[in-house]
Amino acid sequence: MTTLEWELLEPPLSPVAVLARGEHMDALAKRTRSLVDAGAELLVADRPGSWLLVLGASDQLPWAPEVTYLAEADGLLHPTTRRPAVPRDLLHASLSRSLPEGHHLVVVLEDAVLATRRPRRPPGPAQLRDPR
Amino acid sequence: MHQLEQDAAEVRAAVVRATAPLVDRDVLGEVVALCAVAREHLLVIGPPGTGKSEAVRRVAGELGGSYFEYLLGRFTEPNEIFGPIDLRKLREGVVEVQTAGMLPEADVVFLDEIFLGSTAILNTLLGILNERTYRRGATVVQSPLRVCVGAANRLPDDPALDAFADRFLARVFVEPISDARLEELLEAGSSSDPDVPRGTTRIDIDALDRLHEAARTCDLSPARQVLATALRTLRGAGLNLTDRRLVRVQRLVAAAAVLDGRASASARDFWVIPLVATTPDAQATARESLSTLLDDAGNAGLVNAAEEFSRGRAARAERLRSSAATLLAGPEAADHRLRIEAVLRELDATFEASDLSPELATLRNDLVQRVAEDG
Repeated sequence: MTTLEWELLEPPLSPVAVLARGEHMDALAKRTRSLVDAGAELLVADRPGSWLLVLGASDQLPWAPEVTYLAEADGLLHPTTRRPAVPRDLLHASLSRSLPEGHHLVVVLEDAVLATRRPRRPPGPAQLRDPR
Repeated sequence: MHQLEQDAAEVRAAVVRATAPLVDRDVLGEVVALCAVAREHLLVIGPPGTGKSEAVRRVAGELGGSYFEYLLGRFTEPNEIFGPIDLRKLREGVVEVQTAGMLPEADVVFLDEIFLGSTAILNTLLGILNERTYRRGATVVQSPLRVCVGAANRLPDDPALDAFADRFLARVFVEPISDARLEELLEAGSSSDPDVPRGTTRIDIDALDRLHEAARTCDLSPARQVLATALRTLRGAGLNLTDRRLVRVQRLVAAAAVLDGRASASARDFWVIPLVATTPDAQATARESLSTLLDDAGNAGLVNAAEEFSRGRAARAERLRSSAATLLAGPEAADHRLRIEAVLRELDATFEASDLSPELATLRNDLVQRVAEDG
């Protein structure tokens, strides 16, 4: 396994998504639900019991404790404050080879790589009511 | 509190009061105050209807003193700006101008569409901007002018106007409100009075004068060597700044130091440097080429302008600290939770937890607590 080098970003990039993992998913799901109910245009992708990803305009993204805000560059989502210090297009191409077909949304974190299909529709009730 | 700090706090509070009802015009308001303390003039460039005049009018109203505002056109006569000729005196063969209530006697001036002024108007203005003296015939008026703000939709194409435009040391380029803040704009527009009242809690203009005096005597020596290096960097990046602008940027540096509550300048005040670059592209180049230096720049009072012109980490932290403290201290508005979450979102998206200062970390915890209490 290859370890990625990371570089700090200053200024940080504008967020396009927010990610919660494990026990912190409930709080993000709850807040996302209330914002969607109030009219916020947010999209949600998730792996039940593992992680919840909310995408939207930077000023509409929900806040919850212990979440990670993500920026997007060259097809990869990575933390707004740091990114892999390798060419992102090469990294994306390399990761894509090992991902399931159609999983174009790739999140690169220091301790994990998450992949999913890019959501196209607003979250359904089940996606946010029971994230586990 | 020391008089200097008290005066700086009063000016900061005045700018906040002035710009609070407006959306995204706090940078402009803060730069007007900075220029008023520096006694330098400001050019505001932006499309019509972007709130340039309202922002300046509100700040002028809060800063106290007399205010003169005029929309210049190609057919504007000098007497509309500087005052009418005294006809009784003219019958006696003396040319004297009645300047009461006109530009030569104003403390703060706003001239919209400034480049449409006739040659006669602009030449007379030059004298007032440079020497703060109005002369016509037998009339000689020492102008009390603190700051003249000129506005235009775009920079002039005519090179003949370059020398005139160069007298405006600072430049702010105003954009229409972003899509993301349209709701705020609509709400502010429906609740504000179209006839902007002069400030009712305006500060004593003597405070502004004391700050100017402090800026004039501000010790620039600790910053001068680094400033020279910064200016060389700008030249190396291809920025063509006149010697006049290079020299006078020191006045903005000094004013920034004073408004930050200090009697001596430092590199912390260098966020003002991009302000003297003459185009939006040049300002961006200035920010980028000085980014390392500007990372530590900031201002406790002019938090929005310091961040806008430095895009630095210290200034960003200072603005967020100010926003957090205001939210924690202020009354809870209908959208209080959304505002708190916006600050938390920005804090978490732009700082790693280990990079937060103890003060900012404490404020963040307090905000989290407020959200938790809200359920």
